[in-house]
Amino acid sequence: MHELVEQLKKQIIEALNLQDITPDRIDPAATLFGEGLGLDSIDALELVVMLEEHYGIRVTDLEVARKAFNSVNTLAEFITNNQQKGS
Amino acid sequence: MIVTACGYIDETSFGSNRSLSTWRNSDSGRPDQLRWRMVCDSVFDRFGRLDLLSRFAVVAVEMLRLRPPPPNVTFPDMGISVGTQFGSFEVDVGFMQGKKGPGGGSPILFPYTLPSTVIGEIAIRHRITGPSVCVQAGTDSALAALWQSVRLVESGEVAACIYVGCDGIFATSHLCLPDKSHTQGNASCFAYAFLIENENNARKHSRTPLAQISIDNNPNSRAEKSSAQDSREGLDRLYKYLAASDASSKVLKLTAPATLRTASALVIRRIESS
Repeated sequence: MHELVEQLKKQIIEALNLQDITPDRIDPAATLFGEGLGLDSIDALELVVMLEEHYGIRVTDLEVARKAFNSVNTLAEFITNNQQKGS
Repeated sequence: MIVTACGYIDETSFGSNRSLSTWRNSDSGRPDQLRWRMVCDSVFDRFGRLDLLSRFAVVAVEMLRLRPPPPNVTFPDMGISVGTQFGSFEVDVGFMQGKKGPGGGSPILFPYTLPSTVIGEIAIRHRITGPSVCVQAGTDSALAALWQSVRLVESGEVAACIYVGCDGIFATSHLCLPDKSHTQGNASCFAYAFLIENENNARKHSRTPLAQISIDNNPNSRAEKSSAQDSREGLDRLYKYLAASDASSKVLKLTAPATLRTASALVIRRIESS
C-alpha cells in the first residue's frame, strides 16, 4: 500500500502539472480538494482519466468517487479494492 | 487617465518599468519550460496547470506589482482587457489531438480552449470582479484591446483596468507562424501588461503615474502610419517608452488599428517624476 501511495503522489503531480510540489510535500491523509492540496473540479476530472488510463478503473458513481478522492490514502484503498475485485 | 505600471515577459526575459531580467535557472530557453520560480518570488501552486498563454499573461500582470488583496476583498471597480492574435490555438490543437487518443481530450486543457480563460486566471489571482473584454481579431487584436481598456476607464465604467497583450505559440508554431520575422526561434510567446486607471484611484492606492494616456479623436492628430505588421511592435514601443528605455520621445502616439474603424490615436505623455 505504501508503494502505491508514493506512486499515486507522483502520478498526481505529473497529471496535474504541479510544478513546485514534490511527493514528500503531499500528506497522504490530507484532503485533496478545497483544503490540503487545493485541487478543483477540473483536477478531479483529470484524476478520473488518470485512474482509467493507469489502473483500468472506471468511476461511475459520484458518491463512490467523492469518498475515493478524499485523500491519497483513500484513493489508494479504492484502487486496491477495485483491482482485487477485478482479479 | 494615467498608466501606473507596466510589465513584460517573452521567451527569455521579463520585467517591469523598473528593471528587465532574464529567466532564472533556465537551461533550455524553451517557453514551455517556464516555471513560476524563474520569474517570481511569491507562491503560485496553480501555475503549472495554466496553459502557455495564461502563464505568460499572469507573469506580465505580476510585474505590475499589485498589492495582494486582503482576505475576502474583491475589486468590482477594476476591469481586465486582453488582446491576443492566436488566442487558444495551441491548446485547441493539443485538445483535439488528445481527443483522438484512447484517453480522450484532457479535462485540464479544456477550459483553456477559450482564450478568455486568461481573463479568468488573472481575475482569480487578483480577485477582480469588474467588466472584462477579450479581443482575438487577427494582428490588430492587442492594440484593439488596448483601446478598449482606455475606453473602459474613460467612460467611468471602471476606476482601473489591467491590460494584457499576449500570445502563447510554441509547439504549433509551424502551423500558424509562417512569417518568423517577429519570433525568436520557433515560438511567439510574450505578454505586455499595463495598468491604466484614473488619477483618483491611483492616489487611493498610492501608485505613482508613469504617463498620461488619452484617446485623441481628431483625425489630423493621427500618428504617422506605423510600419508595424502587427500589434506587438506598438506594444513594444509603449513598454519601452514607459520603462524610459526610449527617452528620445516626449509624446508617444499609436494609431488606432484598422479593426476599430476609427481615425483616433492613442496619445501617451510621460510624467517626469519630481
